[in-house]
Amino acid sequence: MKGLIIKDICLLKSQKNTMPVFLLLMLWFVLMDNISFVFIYMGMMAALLACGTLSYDEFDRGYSFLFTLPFERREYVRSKFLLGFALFAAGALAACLLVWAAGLIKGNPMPAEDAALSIFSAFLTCALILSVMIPMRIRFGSEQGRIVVFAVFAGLAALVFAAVKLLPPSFTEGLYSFSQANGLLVIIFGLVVPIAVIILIGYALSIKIINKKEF
Amino acid sequence: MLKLNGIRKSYPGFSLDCSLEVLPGRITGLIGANGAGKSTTFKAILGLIRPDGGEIELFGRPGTSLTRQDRRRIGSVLSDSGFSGYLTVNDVIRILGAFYPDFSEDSFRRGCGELSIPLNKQIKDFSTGMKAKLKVLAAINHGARLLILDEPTAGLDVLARQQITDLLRGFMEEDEERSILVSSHISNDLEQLCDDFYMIDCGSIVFHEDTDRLLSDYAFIKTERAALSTLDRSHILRVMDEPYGCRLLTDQRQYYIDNYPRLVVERASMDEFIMIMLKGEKL
Amino acid sequence: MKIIINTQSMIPIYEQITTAVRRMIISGELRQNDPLPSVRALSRELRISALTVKKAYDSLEEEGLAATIHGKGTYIKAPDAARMLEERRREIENGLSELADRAALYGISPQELRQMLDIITEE
Repeated sequence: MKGLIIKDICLLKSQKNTMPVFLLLMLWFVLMDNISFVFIYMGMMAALLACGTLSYDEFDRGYSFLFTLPFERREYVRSKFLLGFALFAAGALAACLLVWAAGLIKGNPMPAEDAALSIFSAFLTCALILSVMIPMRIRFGSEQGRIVVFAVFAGLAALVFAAVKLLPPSFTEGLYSFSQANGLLVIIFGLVVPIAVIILIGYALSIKIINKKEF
Repeated sequence: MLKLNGIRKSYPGFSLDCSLEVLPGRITGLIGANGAGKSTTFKAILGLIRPDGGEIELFGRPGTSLTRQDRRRIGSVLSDSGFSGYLTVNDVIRILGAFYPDFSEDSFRRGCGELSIPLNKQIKDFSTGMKAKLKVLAAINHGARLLILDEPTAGLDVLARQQITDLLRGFMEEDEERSILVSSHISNDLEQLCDDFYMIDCGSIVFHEDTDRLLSDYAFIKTERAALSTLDRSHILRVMDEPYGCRLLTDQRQYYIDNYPRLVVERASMDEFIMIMLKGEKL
Repeated sequence: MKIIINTQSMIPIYEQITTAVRRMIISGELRQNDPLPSVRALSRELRISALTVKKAYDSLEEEGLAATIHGKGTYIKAPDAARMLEERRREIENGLSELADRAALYGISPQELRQMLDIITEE
C-alpha cells in the first residue's frame, strides 16, 4: 500500500498550483469571522482532493495497468480513505493555526469547544463525502460518478430538509436546548457515532465494488 | 511457468476459450487479428477480469487469483494502459521502489539514459516510443520471473522496436529460467524473438508451433490448379487461391523438395504464414 | 562469434550454425575447451529464436563436437585427427557430388568431367 500512497502524493504534488487559491479562501473566511465554515470548507477540500486521485488513476484507461501492480484490491480502497483522513489532519492543523493566529491578532480567540465542534462537523462532512464519492466513483467512473454523487447528496439534502419541515417545531427546539445544556460530550458522541457508521458503510461498499470490478 | 486450461470468458458477440502453456526459459508469442482475443487472454492472466471457467496455473501453482507475491514476480506491459500521465519518471522510480523489493533503481536509470528517456517530464508529454520504452523498462527491472507483454512494440519505428527487443533479450539472458509471453502484430519481431508461438482466432487457439520448425520445415508451394491433383496431399495444411493458381502450405518442406524437383517451393515467412492460416482453406 | 546466417536460404538455420562451427573447428579457430556463447547470447547476436540455437548445440553435442556442462555452458570438444580427416573428406565428397549433379544437368558426361578434373589437378 505504500506504493499507492506514494503514487497519490506524487499526483497531488502536480496539483500544487491550486493550493494558494485554497489557502487564500480559507484566509478570507477567517477574516470574515466565518470560523466554522473554514473548517467545513477544509474538510470538503480534503475529501475532494483524495477523490481527485481516483480520476487521475482512471485517466486514459490507467486502471488496467494500475491493478496489475502488487497490491490487494482492498488496499486500494484503504489508501483512498487514509489519504482523505491524512489530508484532513493536515488541513485541520493548518486551519487551527490560522484561526488561532487570527484570534490573537483580532483579539477574539475562539473558545476551544466551538473549535472542537467545528472540527468534528468538518470531519463529518469529509467522511460523508469520502464515503459517497469513493464507492460511486469506482463503480461508475469519474464522469457518471459525478452525477451519481450529486444525486445522492441532493437526495440526502432533500431528506434533511423534509425531516426539518415535518418534525414538530417543539422537537427541534427541544433538541437545540438539549444540546446547549448538555454540553460538548453529548454533541461529540452525536457526531462521532454517525461518522463511524458512515465511514464503515462507505468502506464496506467500496470494498465490495472494487472486488467485483473488471478492467 | 504459466498454463491456461480452457479459460472461458463471454462477452456479447465474442467468447474466449483459450488453452496455452509457457515453459520456463521460453519466449512464447501470441499472434492473432485484432479482436481475436489476445488482450482478453492477457487480462484473464493478470487478474483484471474474472474468467467464467477454466484453470490457470502460475509458477506451478493452480488458482485464478494472483497474490501480491505473484504480482511481484510478474512484469506486465499493456498496450493501452500505463502509469498515470501526470507522473514523471522520477515519480515512477519512487513508486516502483515502494512496490517491488527487488526493484533495481540503477539498472532502471541506466536504461532511461541509454534510451534517452527524460526523468522530469510528465509522461503525458512523452512520444509514443518513449512511453513504450518506459513501460518495458518498468517491467524488466524488478526481478520478474515472467513477463506478460501485450503489443509492446505497437506503433513504433524500426529503431525503437529493435531497442525494445534488445531489452527483452537482455532480460532473458540474466536468468535462463525466465519466460515471456508476448503478443504482437509485427511478424518480424515474432520471427526473430519468439521460441514458439500460438495463433488465436475468434477466441480460440488454432495453432501452435516452434518458430524454428516454422522456418525450417514449413514452406509455400506455388502451383497451377490443374497440378494440384498430381500432388501428394497428405502434408498439405492449407490452400489459398491466387491469380496464378493456388498457394499451399506444408509442414514437410523437404518431402516436396525431394519428390517434386520442379515444384516451386518457398520458405514461409511469419506474415504469409499467418495470412494463409487465417484465410486459407483446409484441404 | 562470427557466424553468418542466411535467413533466406532453404538450409535450416540450425544446420547453418552447426556447419559454421564444424568449419571453425577444422580451421582451428575453435579449439578444445573453447566456450561457445550461451544460447541466449548467440540468439541475440544472430537475431533468431533460442530454440534454434539450442537445436544446433544439441546437434553438435550428438556429433561429439561439443559438451554442455549444466549451469556453465557449452564447450568445444575437439574431435580426434582421424575424425577431422573424415570430416574433410566428406566435405570434398559432397562438393564433388554436387558438381557431378550439376554437370549431368548441363549435359556434360562423366568422362568429360574426369578429363576436366585431371587438367585442373595437374596445374
